[in-house]
Amino acid sequence: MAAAGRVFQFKLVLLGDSAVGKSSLVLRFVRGQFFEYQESTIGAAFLTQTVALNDTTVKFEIWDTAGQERYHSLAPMYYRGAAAAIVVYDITNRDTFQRAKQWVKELQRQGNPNIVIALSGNKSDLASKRKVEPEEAESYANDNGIFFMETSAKTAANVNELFVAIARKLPKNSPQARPGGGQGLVNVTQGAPPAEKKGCC
Amino acid sequence: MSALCSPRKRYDEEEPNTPAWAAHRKHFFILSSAGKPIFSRFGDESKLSPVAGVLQALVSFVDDSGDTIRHVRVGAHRVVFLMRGPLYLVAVSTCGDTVEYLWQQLHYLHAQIISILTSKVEQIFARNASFDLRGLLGGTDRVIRSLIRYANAEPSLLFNAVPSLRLPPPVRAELGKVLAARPADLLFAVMVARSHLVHLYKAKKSVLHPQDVLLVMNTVASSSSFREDESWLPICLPCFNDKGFVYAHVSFVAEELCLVLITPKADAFSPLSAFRQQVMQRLEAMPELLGTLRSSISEPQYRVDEFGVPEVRHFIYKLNAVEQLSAPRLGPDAGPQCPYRTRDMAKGLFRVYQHAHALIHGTSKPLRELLVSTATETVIARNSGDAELYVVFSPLVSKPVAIAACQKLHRSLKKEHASLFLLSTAK
Repeated sequence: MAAAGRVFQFKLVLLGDSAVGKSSLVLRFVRGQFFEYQESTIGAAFLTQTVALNDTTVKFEIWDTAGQERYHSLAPMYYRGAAAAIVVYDITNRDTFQRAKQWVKELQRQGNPNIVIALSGNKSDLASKRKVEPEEAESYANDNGIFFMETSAKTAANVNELFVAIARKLPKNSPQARPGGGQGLVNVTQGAPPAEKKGCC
Repeated sequence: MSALCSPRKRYDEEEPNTPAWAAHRKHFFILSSAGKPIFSRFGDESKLSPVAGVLQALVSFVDDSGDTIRHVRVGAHRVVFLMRGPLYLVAVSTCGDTVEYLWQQLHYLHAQIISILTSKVEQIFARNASFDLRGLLGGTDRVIRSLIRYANAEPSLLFNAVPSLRLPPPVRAELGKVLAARPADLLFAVMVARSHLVHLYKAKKSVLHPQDVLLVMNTVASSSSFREDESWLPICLPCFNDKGFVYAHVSFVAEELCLVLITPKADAFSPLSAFRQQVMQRLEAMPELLGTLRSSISEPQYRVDEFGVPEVRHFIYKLNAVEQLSAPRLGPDAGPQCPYRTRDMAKGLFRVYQHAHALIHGTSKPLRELLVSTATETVIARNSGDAELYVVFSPLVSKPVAIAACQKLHRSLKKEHASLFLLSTAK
């Protein structure tokens, strides 16, 4: 929990094809757990987790959406108003990378204009079965002004780093940043608008 | 009866068309009218084209003579068909289930698919008869398999009634007050513990059919993903409105106590989430009530000997006005009066109920009373209009003794209505 400093609340959405590991990433980040056979998400799950930065605390309201085709039409409901999105693909499955690109396109066209998008190549522990090279994803990310990380929910590699990187990138003075007083958190911004703060990334 | 369910096996990874696959006693298939396999209980449905072809041929053959195939008997096999627009649902069973109950199970499977996709699925097929529905159903095998397992072990689908949790009436009343502080836009609230109904709220003039409650309960029970914090999902309640989705907020508010909040508004997550928070706080403020609730939930079914009628082995009691049912437990800790200790014995007993049910409801006007004796049981079924009571005795019981015991049990049960059933929903 935050020792001191301002608390900001941000809505974050995870998008990506089914079975790429969206729920596994979230559960690793929120609970530190991993299950080899994570059951597929039905609809969307809502979880919260906080990240303490140097002088601020970011509270994520996380929407972990189901990847199945039939839920696609609902996606705008989750990414509308989201300050950040993690688009996930599975490094061992090229189709999921293509699908991730479509998500990025959709977010850039229809999401909020300042949305912070992270591309996550998940299952980096399965490097021997790799079908998508990190260089390719990296250059795609650079071309599209988003940032990229390979992650492994299984080994926890880069999972916290990913969320912390997003927390740092989020502009703390934007309309999406809601000074938040979640449970157990100290709200020191009562009444006062959040002070101007540069993103430190 | 849920205690008797075996752990889940990965049947979908089984190789179809092998002797082990064929040896399963109860298969369910769903195919499109174009003969495309959509779902198979066992094995990978994509490898089932030959079976789907045969089933489709049977349907077409009878269809050509201007008739509809309903079921086929081959030795011990019952092959039961249900055609619902572009979907063909087929059960192949050697279990001894009645044909009527196999139909009922197919009907529920269809309703569960509608709950996932709405009846718009028919328009999809009208546009493209060879559409592959599996893409749209992705990830829902578990929901459908869970319904099949549930139907095998529990009488709810047979009776079209929701099993209710036996609870001290003051506890139930208190929970009703908690739900009554509902937010606007709440259509239904369903409180469930271990597949037993605990409480219910219905918005004015809204009707919640037991079938819809059972589908919601099955959806929630089918995935452990609902145990994480809060979930939000579109769901169609086929009896309420099969053409569109409503939205369900699903969460656990206490150990094993699941709260499903249903709204027509796709963007109502926040107020429902806040209400759930409020429910949790109110429950936590009542530790005594929570304790009683916890012990009721830990043993959702009581023992048959509690009712002081020693001749009775087991019974199922359905109260028609509320469309709920109640039954004592089966299995090793069901008490000395109840000899159904193993899973197979419980399944055998369930078939006895199915046959009695089919006899009672087999005529255009349901029978009022029935006594059937087999080599293993004597069953009395009474259908008073207000309630249905099926009571099981030893095969050697004399008719007058059984009838007297049945009446005595019915009187005892009537006194317990308020604890056995949810008699009035939250206002």
